[in-house]
Amino acid sequence: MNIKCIINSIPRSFDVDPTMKLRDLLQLNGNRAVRDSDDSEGFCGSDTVLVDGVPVYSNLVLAGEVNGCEIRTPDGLADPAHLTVVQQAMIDAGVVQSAYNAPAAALLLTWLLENNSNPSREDIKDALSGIFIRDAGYEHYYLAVKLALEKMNSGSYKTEIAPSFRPELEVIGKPLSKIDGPQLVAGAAAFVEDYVDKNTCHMVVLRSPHASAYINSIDVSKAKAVPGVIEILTAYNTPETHYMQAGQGNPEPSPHDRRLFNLKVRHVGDRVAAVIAETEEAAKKALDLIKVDYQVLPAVFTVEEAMAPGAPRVHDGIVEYRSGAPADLDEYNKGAADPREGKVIYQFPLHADIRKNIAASNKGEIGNVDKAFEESDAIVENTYQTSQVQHTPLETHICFAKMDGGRLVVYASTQVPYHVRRIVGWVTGLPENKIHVIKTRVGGGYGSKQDILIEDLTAYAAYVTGKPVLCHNTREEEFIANSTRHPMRVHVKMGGKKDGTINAIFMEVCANTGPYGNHCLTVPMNSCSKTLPLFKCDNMRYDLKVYYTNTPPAGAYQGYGTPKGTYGLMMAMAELAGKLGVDYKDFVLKNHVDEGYMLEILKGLGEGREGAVVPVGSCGLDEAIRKGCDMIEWGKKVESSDPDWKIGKGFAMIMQGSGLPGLDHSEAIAKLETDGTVILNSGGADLGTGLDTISAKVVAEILKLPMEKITVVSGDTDSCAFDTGAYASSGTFFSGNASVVATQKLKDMILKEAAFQMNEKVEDLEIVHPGAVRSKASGKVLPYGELSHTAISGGGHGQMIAHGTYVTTASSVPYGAHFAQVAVNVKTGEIKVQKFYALQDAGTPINPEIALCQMYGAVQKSIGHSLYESMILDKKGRCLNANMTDYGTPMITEAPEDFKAVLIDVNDKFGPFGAKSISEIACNGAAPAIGIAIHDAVGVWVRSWPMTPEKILRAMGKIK
Amino acid sequence: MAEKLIVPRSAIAASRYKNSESAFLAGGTEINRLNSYVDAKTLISIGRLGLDTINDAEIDGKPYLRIGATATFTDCIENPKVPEYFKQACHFMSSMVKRNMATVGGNVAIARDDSYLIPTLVASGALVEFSNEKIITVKEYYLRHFRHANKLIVAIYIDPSAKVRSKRYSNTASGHAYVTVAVCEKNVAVQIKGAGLVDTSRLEASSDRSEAFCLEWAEKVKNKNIKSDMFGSESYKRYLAGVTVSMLCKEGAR
Ligand SMILES: Cc1cc2nc3c(=O)[nH]c(=O)nc-3n(C[C@H](O)[C@H](O)[C@H](O)COP(=O)(O)OP(=O)(O)OC[C@H]3O[C@@H](n4cnc5c(N)ncnc54)[C@H](O)[C@@H]3O)c2cc1C
Ligand code: FES
Repeated sequence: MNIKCIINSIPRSFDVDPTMKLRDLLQLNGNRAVRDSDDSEGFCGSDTVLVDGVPVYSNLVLAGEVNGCEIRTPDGLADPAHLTVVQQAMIDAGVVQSAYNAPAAALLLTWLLENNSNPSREDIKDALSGIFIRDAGYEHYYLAVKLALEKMNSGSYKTEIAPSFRPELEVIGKPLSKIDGPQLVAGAAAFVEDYVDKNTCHMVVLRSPHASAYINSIDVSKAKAVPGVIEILTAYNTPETHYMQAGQGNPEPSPHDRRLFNLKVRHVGDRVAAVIAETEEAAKKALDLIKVDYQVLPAVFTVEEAMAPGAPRVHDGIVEYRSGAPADLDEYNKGAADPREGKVIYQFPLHADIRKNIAASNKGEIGNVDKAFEESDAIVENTYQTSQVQHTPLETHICFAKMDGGRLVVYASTQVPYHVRRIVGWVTGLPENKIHVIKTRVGGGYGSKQDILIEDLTAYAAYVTGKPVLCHNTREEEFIANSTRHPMRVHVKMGGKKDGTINAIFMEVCANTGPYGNHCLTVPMNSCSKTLPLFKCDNMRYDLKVYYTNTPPAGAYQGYGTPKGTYGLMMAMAELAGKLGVDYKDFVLKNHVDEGYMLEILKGLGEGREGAVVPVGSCGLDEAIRKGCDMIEWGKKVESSDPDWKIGKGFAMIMQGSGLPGLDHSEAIAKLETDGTVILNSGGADLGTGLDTISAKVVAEILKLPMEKITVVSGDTDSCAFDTGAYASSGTFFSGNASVVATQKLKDMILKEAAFQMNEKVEDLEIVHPGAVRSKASGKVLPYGELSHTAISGGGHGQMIAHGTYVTTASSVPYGAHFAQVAVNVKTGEIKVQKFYALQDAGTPINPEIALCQMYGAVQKSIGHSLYESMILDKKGRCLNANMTDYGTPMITEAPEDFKAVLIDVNDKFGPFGAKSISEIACNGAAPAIGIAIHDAVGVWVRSWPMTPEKILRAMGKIK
Repeated sequence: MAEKLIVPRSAIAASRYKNSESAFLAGGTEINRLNSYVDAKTLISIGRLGLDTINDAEIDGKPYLRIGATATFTDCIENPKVPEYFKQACHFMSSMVKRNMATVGGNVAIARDDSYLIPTLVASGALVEFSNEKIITVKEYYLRHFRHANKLIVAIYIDPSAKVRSKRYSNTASGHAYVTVAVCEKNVAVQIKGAGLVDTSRLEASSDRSEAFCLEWAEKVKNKNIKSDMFGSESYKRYLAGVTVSMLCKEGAR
């Protein structure tokens, strides 16, 4: 059919099948920003376009229906160099973060303002009601609209975007535009899918229908005969190398317990085979023709099932240790079952016992906990259960790999480019100099892209076939074959004295790591190591065990284990306050740590190593609690006009870390270019959180150079130097500090070279705006451009290139307190989060507007896991709700009515310009704050995620 | 996946193309979505047949508002003639973009067990008109929609002055409803995921709307499809149905 339409003001004509989706037609037309993040489910809104001025989802429209229509797409609004007022306002408000949906949101807001010159909050909410935002939350979208209107009406912004910090500094602590904002908001090439070569092969993966089974045989003969099929990979033709997919420092505190393909499948969705074909259709057709003979085995899905005597074993093969093997290992290995079990290889002991399904364990104690409990005036003891939740980044996992000049080039949407390179090296057998990993912009990670979940296989496929290969997870695969938050059972016993002190805490954590042990020790460790150090308590004990099961895999998720530990501990603390008859606020204020308090509890809580006992450093915890209590009017009972609705308040204190002292490592290279501009090569991986902007600001601040004269190249393993990656809240602290070190060194080089060229003493020179060296003695000024040119044209000492490395044993801990006010309906159990106030000490917020949006986004995610989100498995381990609609991610409709993020001003001694981490910690407070508020409202404790209306009604005795 | 798209010029022509292999394409939000309930080789586009008008009408002397089948949810929300109760039901579809696409006729036709509009339409005594001018109640259509599978709905008639109160329960606003209740004077429509509309005749036969009575009705109502599932337990859904009927009736009485 011939279809004539106007796309972004240009008349177009296409001869296409009219049943083609409009989105596919627009992609054909080059409108790449019309994306899809849910396989046409009609939920996320990445495919939003305007047809004859009306917003629609282009995946749900057929091409044949737009004949004669006028279409506008997000990338038709403007190019990155000439942004519209709305697009610029979005960047300025801080909402353009990982930004997969930012172009579509810009289109919707443009449409809104074209049709309504004075939209209310409700109008904005409605305009964004069909677009899923996971990174920045929705709150600053209201601000973006306000800013855009102000600019349109009066030529400038009137509203403060975010508070500014450190008046003595130029750019650090000031809301300035994110440097990659224009590229992202305009929908220019940014993500892996935008860099895929023409004629690239597609790879699709055959996944196990069984939760546990041995593979007896795989017949690929019919599949191979499908025209266009290049290769089919299975356990029979891929290496036996055992590795793991967690992107952690090497040697990892996770067992190497998998191969590219195993001969035992361990969860529904586990890899069985992969088809590489010239087209996606051919690959899918071939996939359906693969015949697998399974020997189905019994499975376990919960920690209770996994720990039961005689439980089916998830791993039952040979165990090896790279170091620290126990003396009885040979004896232990005599118990190994079928060779198809494969191996479990520990880099060092994790106190595991796979014959009991224990993947890792740890325990420790300070003081004398048993004795202290005997002396307690009141004790609470309860179990808190968290559920299996998924990150749901808008951009599902994607990898494009190809051979180029004998090297393997991997385009990855990853938080850990250097770990990707190492693990791809392991599975292909290639040395690192033969592998080039290019981290593109990342359309949402939240921990899931800390794991090497598809890069291993895609890179291997490209390597063995010699063809360019693309693999792109479906949304369903994200749920069943990716990684998730470890479900945990957190048992807390807490004792207190009548004087309002906590004198004993015992925490028992049983975590479910699923079939493989990615992060199996460290996630549960964080439930203790990032919670217990909040308490000024001399007697504390923790005991954690991690179980293998046959659920979809677990891994890293923003907050790591901390949200779960915080949920248990803070709920128990609130209950204990009630039991002791003290006000919860006073109780928290009395028992939290302050600067200088020695954290003995940390000695056993290293990441698989001995932890360091350190004092509490900079700490804004007390201020966060007091300020938050004032904001929410703690102690003042609020009554609803409707007697069915009861209102309650709650809060929780929170902490996290800023990277892993003694383990993490970052490098940066700062180069003065020949015209006096600077290129900073940062090993750090910007996930959309503004890390590159931090690096640029560091250079601008130290070298007194305008931001537009600085370019940051990051996450490219060829051009940048090593960085452990963006996880454990390390980005700002480690990668930022590496940028500081490199830039300081460059500054020193500049001064030295200037002294030579100007014939002056270094001590007499200073760096001045805009990028020049000035002599305090002679008043002479030498701009960087001249300095650099002379340096490389025979009159100096060559190009100035500085290399900065950052490692530390210093620990900079962000603190905070999150407050919730909820309304609960006593008849229906419905819950509304009326108010949510997140107060955090992030040290110096280098990008304050982005920091606030990080907080809004993380809180919104945690409201999700607290109230709505949960993967539901049936008895066979099949996920029943592996789609966005049923899974329950919160949208703008679920955002709190009154939502505030507040930055507590604390200057840290070790962070770059005093900065600490910001985003992970913001995942920790919502569950306990809301749980405590629910109790305040209706008097019941809901001790499991998600805290649903049904659970409330059950706790209230309304249903059996 | 559809293989053919027909763009007919009239409702009559559209009806002629309809058979068991084909489906009418209205807003496309059901047909074109992932895992759609609809599987048709041929799609008959009805979006440009002028079936989207909203105007006053009269049937057997009773005033109605006639909503053309291809009027979208947004058309209804924006039209001043449309009563608030029906606008509220349209708002049960939380995504504005989807409301711009989804049609009233499409929602009735698909007759889902988590339908946005059906409970409200049924409680208010709404009617559905086919291209052959035959008119039946929405309730009749819902309960026997397979019989009408090949018929083109051209309009829905709603009572502009009905006093309908409705409530929808879902995990998040964009999730699927597991219980939706609508009441209108004596009429009660209760829709439960898995079961669809459940039998409310015992409730409708009584004037008792006390919580105790409604809960007892809900506990006992016979329907083997009210089951525990991922949306909630059977007892929760039954409780919610009962308590909500009583609540909405009480609100109405206020
Ligand atoms: C993410 C998502 C979630 C959804 N959740 C829900 C939900 O919770 N509840 C719900 O009710 N719906 C839901 N839907 C489905 C859908 O959006 C609505 O039911 C919508 O009202 C269907 O209208 P439509 O015009 O888009 O129908 P279409 O998709 O065009 O058609 C739907 C069906 O109705 C038939 N049809 C359409 N118009 C007529 C007519 N005039 N005469 C006869 N037959 C006709 C079609 O042949 C087809 O079989 C959801 C959709 C999506 C994408
Ligand atoms: S259908 Fe809209 S993002 Fe997939």
